[in-house]
This record gives sequence, C-alpha cells and structure tokens, in this order.
Amino acid sequence: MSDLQLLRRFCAAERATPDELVARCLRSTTSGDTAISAAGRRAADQAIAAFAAAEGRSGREAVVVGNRLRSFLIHNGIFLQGPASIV
Amino acid sequence: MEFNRVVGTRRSIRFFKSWRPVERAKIQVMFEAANRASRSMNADYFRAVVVNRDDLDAETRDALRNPTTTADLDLAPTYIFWYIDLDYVAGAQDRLKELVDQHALPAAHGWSKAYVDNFLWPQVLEPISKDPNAVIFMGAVETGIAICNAINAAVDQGLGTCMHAFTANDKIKPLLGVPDTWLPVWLQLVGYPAEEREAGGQRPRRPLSTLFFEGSCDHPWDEDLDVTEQLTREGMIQEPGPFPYRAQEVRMLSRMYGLPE
Repeated sequence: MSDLQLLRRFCAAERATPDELVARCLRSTTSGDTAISAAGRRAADQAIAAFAAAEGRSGREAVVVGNRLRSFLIHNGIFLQGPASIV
Repeated sequence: MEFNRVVGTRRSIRFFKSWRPVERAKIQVMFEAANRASRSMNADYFRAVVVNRDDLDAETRDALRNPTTTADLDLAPTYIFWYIDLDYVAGAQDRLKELVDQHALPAAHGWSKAYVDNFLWPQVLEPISKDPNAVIFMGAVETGIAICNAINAAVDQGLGTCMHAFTANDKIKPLLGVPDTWLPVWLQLVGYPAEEREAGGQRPRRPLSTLFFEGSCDHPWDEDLDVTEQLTREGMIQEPGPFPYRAQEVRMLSRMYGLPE
C-alpha cells in the first residue's frame, strides 16, 4: 500500500481531510500566533497507533505503518516522534 | 583519543545500536570524569542514576516517552538520569576548610579556616542556600560542567550520547528512589552509534569573532589562522556537515528501525 493510500485510509478512519489532521495538532495563542497543540499532537499520535492496531498490524509492521503516517504530519511541520522497531 | 579530537568528534547521536549494551566499565569512566569536573565550594552539585533500558518495564518506558523523545528511548540501551542535589551547600563549610588544609585555597590568596567559618559561610554561602533561585542557578551551571565531562568521556570511549528533556519525573522518582531534594536536569542517552561517529559531519558553528571578544565587547576575537589550521589537523575542527551521503545514511537507518522518513 502506498503512503497516499495509507493516508487516505487514515483520513477516512478519522473522518478528516489531510489538512484537518494537521490543523488538529495546532492551536492559536492568545496573541494570535499559531502553535503546536500538545494535546492535539498526543491525540494524533494515539489515533495513529489505534489505527495501526485496528488495521490488524502488530509488531514491526504496526510501528512502520504508524511512522509512515507520522511522516505526513512531520513534513507538515508537526514535530512528532514514533517508536522505533528494535526487534 | 587526543583531547582536541574528542571535542571535535562529539555529536548528539540519535541513532544507536539498540542491540549492543554499554559496558559498565565505560559508564564508570563517564562518572569518574564527571566527578573530576570543576566545581565551586568543592560541593557535590550533581547526582546521576544509570539504568539499562531493558531493565525498565514497558509501562515505565512508555511514561518517559513524549512527542519529542520517543524513538531515542527505544534505540539507546543505557539511560543516565541527571539531577541537581539542591542540598549541595550542606557540608560546604567543611569541604572548603579541607581545601585550605590541602593548600588548594592558600593564604597567598587570602584563604583561612577563620575566613570560611566567620565570613564566607555566614555572609555568603548560607544566604545563598536560602535563595531558591540562586541554588538552582548555581546547581544547574555546576551540574552542566560535570555532564560535559561525562559527554566527552563517552565520546573518548567510542560511545554516542545525546541529552534529552526529562519528563515523567513523577513516575521515575519512586521507581529510582529519588530523594525530594533532587531536581531533574537531563536524561542522557548512551550507546554505540548506529550512524557514523561523525554523524554526517561537524555541526555549523558561528565564527569565534561573533562569540568572543578581547579587551572589550567592541573588539571581536581576531582568529589566528595558524591555530585554526592546527586545530583542523588535530581534529577539533572537522569537515562540516552534511556529508554528501548523509541523507541516505539517515534514510537507511530510518528504514532499519521503521522510523518516519
């Protein structure tokens, strides 16, 4: 499955567009600036892990699938780390 | 490794050989290097607890994770939790007098036991010990100096290391039996680098003339190019990053560990 196909499936599961996935990880500050939302980022991370599990992935496969999705957010300015597969 | 090359070879290593443990002897060298660091009052500002990643249960390791430090925790086999012991002033009076006895603090520079007991302690050190901001400021500076020695000792022994923000103290504190007076500072991850020790080349630094001054702040340091050349020969100044193959190196390591690309 390509990265785009994977992202499409994740967006469907989250009922969100790719832009909305990014926006959920952001917040507005009182001064009107845009900042990373810690809660939003945490929620995205958990949603990715849940998605991988719901797709029936486990072990290294779950890590890799999750991190492919995290790549999308990372390249859109959301600093995020996923686990490494060391087994 | 010669000192200049150790300093020049240090990098923040983010890819470790997850499968290769760090020898206990090498950790001891790091600790001894930290213990030999410069320190005011000859006080023991820092404390450190070393833990093997694989000795932590999954719940504790997960508690340490945060959005900015996750993969590193999987890859590094050894964690060193660094603290400031906020009680470091305790005993300073005796330790200073010990240095007077050793002639490390000599009368030639005005030192005496009476000075320590009658002036330095009651008028300087005791008031500092009651000022939380001063205690943390001094503790952070002095602990940082010690950590720096430990970092260089790690590099000298072929290890890689990187300092990370230290969260989840509420979970770690009871697990490690950390006293209430210890303030978390840094989590140092240690292991054998999976990336080349050059990690893609030396990191960019600004010229000495932007950071250092001679005589006054309007006279930037004028670099002696012969010294610069010497330091390049001796390895303190190395080929700047990124090496032409650095992106590929990171990509391959990322694929090995299933990380984002």
